[in-house]
Amino acid sequence: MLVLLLLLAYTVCVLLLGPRLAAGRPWTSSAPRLGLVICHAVPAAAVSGVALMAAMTAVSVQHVRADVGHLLHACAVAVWDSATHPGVPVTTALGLAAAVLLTHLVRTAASSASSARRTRREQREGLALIGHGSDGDGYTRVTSEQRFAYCLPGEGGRIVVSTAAERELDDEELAAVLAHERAHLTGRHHALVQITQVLANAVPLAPLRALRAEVATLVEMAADDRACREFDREALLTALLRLGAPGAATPGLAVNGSRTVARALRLAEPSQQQPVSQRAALCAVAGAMVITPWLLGAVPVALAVTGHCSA
Amino acid sequence: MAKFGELESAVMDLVWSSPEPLTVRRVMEAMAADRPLAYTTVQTVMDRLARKGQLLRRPEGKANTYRAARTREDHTASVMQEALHGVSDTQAALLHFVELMDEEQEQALRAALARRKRARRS
Repeated sequence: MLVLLLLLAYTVCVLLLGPRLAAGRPWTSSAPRLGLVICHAVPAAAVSGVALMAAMTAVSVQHVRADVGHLLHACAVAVWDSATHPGVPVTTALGLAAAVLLTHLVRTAASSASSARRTRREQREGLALIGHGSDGDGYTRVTSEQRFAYCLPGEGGRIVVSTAAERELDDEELAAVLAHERAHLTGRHHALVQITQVLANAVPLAPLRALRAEVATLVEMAADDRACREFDREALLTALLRLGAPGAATPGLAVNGSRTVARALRLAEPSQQQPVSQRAALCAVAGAMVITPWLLGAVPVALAVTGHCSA
Repeated sequence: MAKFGELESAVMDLVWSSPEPLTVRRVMEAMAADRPLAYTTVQTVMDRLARKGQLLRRPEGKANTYRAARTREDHTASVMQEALHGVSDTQAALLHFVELMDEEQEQALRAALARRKRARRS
């Protein structure tokens, strides 16, 4: 009971406060990959907490129903008798709520994944008829007066560039754009974006929406950094300005220029890396966030084992 | 044997550039120079395209004729619409290189970049 309540409180704290470690923090733009790690500690910790709550209740409920035979089970029972004695119904209610939330998360993840897969398949099939491979440059060229470049993950991945965007960029700028998109594909950035997106969709809370937006920004910055290892910063910056400029007549392309502005300023003036100590501390926090629910869950098991041995 | 995707694309190119509906035989003959294919292969590809709604089939005399359901431009527009539509954070199916700035943001950014350039020079 106590452990369940602690897990509940911990999970709620992680969901509400965890995002504050990274979302909207200036430090993330100087270390986008570390930022991504911290951002994903939140879903990892929250899902651990919820899953443990559901699992622990399942063990205790099972004991109420069935005859208990062997030692291992007896251990669990002893734990639960001691840990849950006053409030079995409350425990069950908490556990059920956790199980419902877990199911909801899994279903949201599944439907989000299948809708993304469907869109990608439609894109691939549609592009197969109109896209023309650019000779050996590894992208699909689409005749369009709209300026855009994007990557389509799945089945090896594919980069799509419009003829208008191609015209707008010189060779090095285009190469930098392609390197940026390749970084998305090799880094499986779409999967990262999808994780926090599923969490924000399943649990509609403002901090989680902020977390999702942060991840969407950080994958772009991480891809920018990767591209800058091969190509000139200036080239990428110019490409960003050319393709992100208003009046590109791209109906449908969302206007969310603040992200573009942040990326451009960052490319123009690379900020100082954080000191190693600070980065290490952040990593430690992320690790602790994920491990804590498991430690909490281990408490009753440990109690049971020691209790049985001494008895 | 070439991949279906490639053949479909080649067939659509022919149909799109033809002013009139085409029969399977006409398509096969037109493709023969580049890639000699069996009649049944071309038939299969065109059936697939008809099933996917890309080609419209109409019986004419003994053979069927096929024409494109949409122009190449319309097809392109709809594929791009789908790609550009869900750019926001709510859809992670694909990742765009950049999001558009509005006029104000762009001017502010250019001003900031210019200031930095001057500062670095001095």
